[in-house]
Amino acid sequence: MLAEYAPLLAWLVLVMAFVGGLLALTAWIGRARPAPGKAETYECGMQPMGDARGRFSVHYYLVAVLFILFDVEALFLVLWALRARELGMSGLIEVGLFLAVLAVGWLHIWRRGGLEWDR
Amino acid sequence: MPLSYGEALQYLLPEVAVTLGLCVVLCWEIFVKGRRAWDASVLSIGFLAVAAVLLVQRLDYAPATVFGMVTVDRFATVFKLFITSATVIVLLFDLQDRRALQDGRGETCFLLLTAVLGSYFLVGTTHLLLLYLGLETLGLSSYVLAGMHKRSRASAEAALKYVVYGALASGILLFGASLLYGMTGTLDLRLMAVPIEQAIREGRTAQIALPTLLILVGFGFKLSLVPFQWWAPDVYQGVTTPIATFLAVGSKGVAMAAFLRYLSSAYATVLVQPGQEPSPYLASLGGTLALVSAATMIFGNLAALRQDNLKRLLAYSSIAHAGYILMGVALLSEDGFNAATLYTFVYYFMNLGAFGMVIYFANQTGREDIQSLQGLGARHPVAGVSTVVFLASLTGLPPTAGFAGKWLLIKVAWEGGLHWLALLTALLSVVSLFYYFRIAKALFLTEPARDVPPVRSPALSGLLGLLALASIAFLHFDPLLQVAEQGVRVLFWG
Amino acid sequence: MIPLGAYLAVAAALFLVGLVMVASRRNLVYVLMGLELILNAANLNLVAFDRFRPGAGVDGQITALFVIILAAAEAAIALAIVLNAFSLFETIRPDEMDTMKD
Repeated sequence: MLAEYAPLLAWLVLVMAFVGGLLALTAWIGRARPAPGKAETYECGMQPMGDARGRFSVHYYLVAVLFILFDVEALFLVLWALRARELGMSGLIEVGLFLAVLAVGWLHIWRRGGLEWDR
Repeated sequence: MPLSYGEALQYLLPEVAVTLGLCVVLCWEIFVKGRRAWDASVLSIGFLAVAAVLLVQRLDYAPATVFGMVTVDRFATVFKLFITSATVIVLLFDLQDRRALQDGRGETCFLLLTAVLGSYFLVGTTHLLLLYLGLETLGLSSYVLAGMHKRSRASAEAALKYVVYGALASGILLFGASLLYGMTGTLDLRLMAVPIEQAIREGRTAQIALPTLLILVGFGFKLSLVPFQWWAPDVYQGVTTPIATFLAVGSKGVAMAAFLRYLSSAYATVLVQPGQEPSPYLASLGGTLALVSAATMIFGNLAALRQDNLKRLLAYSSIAHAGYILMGVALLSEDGFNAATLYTFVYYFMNLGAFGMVIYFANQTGREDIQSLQGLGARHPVAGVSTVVFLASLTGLPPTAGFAGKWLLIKVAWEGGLHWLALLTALLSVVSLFYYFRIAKALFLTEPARDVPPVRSPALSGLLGLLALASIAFLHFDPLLQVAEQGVRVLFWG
Repeated sequence: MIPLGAYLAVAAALFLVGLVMVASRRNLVYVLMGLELILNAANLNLVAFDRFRPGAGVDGQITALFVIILAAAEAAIALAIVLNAFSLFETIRPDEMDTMKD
């Protein structure tokens, strides 16, 4: 069964040997001439601006976390939607109740200013 | 025979009441203008009272499994009442605590109700998915409760430790559960009993022992058993006292109930029957639990000896008591489980009282160390005398329920062959006298340090008095024992 | 086809890596990531067992879905608590947040 993967392994070894060989060759033949320009960040040929480690406002995490929470709750809806017809009215009511409880939480977030992250 | 939809809902009405309650409390918090500081608490107590009434009506229902997951039987209902009443008392404590957060009380109430809902499912299921969901609902709301005090460093640190260790515990438990699912092909603990028995008989014990060990680690964290206890003192010390009460009494009680149900369901076919030798596998499981029990009570009692902070002292004392309770569990027999359940009930009264005492005296002095109690006993006779009763009960001295509970534990341990553990318990009870007595000594046998006018809170001292009376009344513990026995019988015989 | 044992081995490895990340306590963000790894290890087990057991139901997969949702909720709460601790202690090294001593 593992034999199927043998070509993959061979390919992997070849790639590594090739890359490793090239690197070794350049290190051996080439000469290192360090210059300040070379050490700079390559940004598509433009002069780099700002720092790569730019920061988001920490308040943004709230929006991100709330997004994730409501996003994963959709999983339950997908499960219901796949079998909505078979589950019928009782399924619809149950999903409605689920959404109602979720809506209470959402209202609370909204009223407490959880969605105004730029303040 | 499957229940009809209406019948099923009938069984779940207490859960419905609590769910409705938490939605109403949260809506009240955001929509009602001109609120008072206490109205969310009163609203929550109202909903919990409704749930309690519904639960009492359900005490005599025939055991049933609702929607294939929720087990409603006497054991579950008794522990649901346990957590409901404990939460009501915690809410009352919160109202009486002068250092409690006044803003955000609605959210505290909401989180407490969520924790109660999680506990309902935790104690009332043999299905590993629902067990995990209940544990997490209880856990997640407790983590937030621990961190409610947003500007306090101690509270932030407590919440952090609690969330990391709590999440780790439930993660390990879940990993164990997933392995158990693979070995047995089901998530229902009762259906697991047969494959587990088969595996043990065929000598494939490693397949069962590994997941069991992981699940034990998970429960060990939740019950703060050695060697998974280090978070407890920091957490109890850092959070507000009412929340510490909830964690020490409520969370620990229902986690113990879930642990008993896990053991009695997954090993239903092999548990020790009267007059029968345990199988080697069961003997090693019981032996492990007995060792953990011994380590836990030794650690808790010795560490409590050198504490000055009352909450930290009570945290170590509650670790020690988890060790005592585990001694009954380690017997893996009906008698042992009875004694463990009974001691959990006794633990409820004396620890609610002890934490209430901390709130009462912190209201007077603004501090929570032993020295701050100096001479306060004479000025506050009701609270002072009640405190002595709680301390006597925690030590296990005769005129109190603590004595009765501990005596039963020692008796069944002796009869069950754990002689060394029974002797150790008796010995450590003497040790515990030293640190409990320090509190009583500070209250009554020292001169008051300075003259502060007492802050009268008749409601809180009344509550403490009632708890103290209960602690004495249940020395004659037939009613409590009956409740425990009837509950545990369901676990063993269905 | 990849055998069941391989899935279990990967899950066990994930679990151990998660455990080590939590235990090393160098950085709270690592700790949270470790916790997520543990949950995902359990999920991998659950789903793999469903796939390989003859005549299996979908219990494991349903459980995995619930675990995903709980993991998100847990991460949200843990992150909020970590941020609050960070703003009070100005460090994310858990061993530097130790104010309570006996």
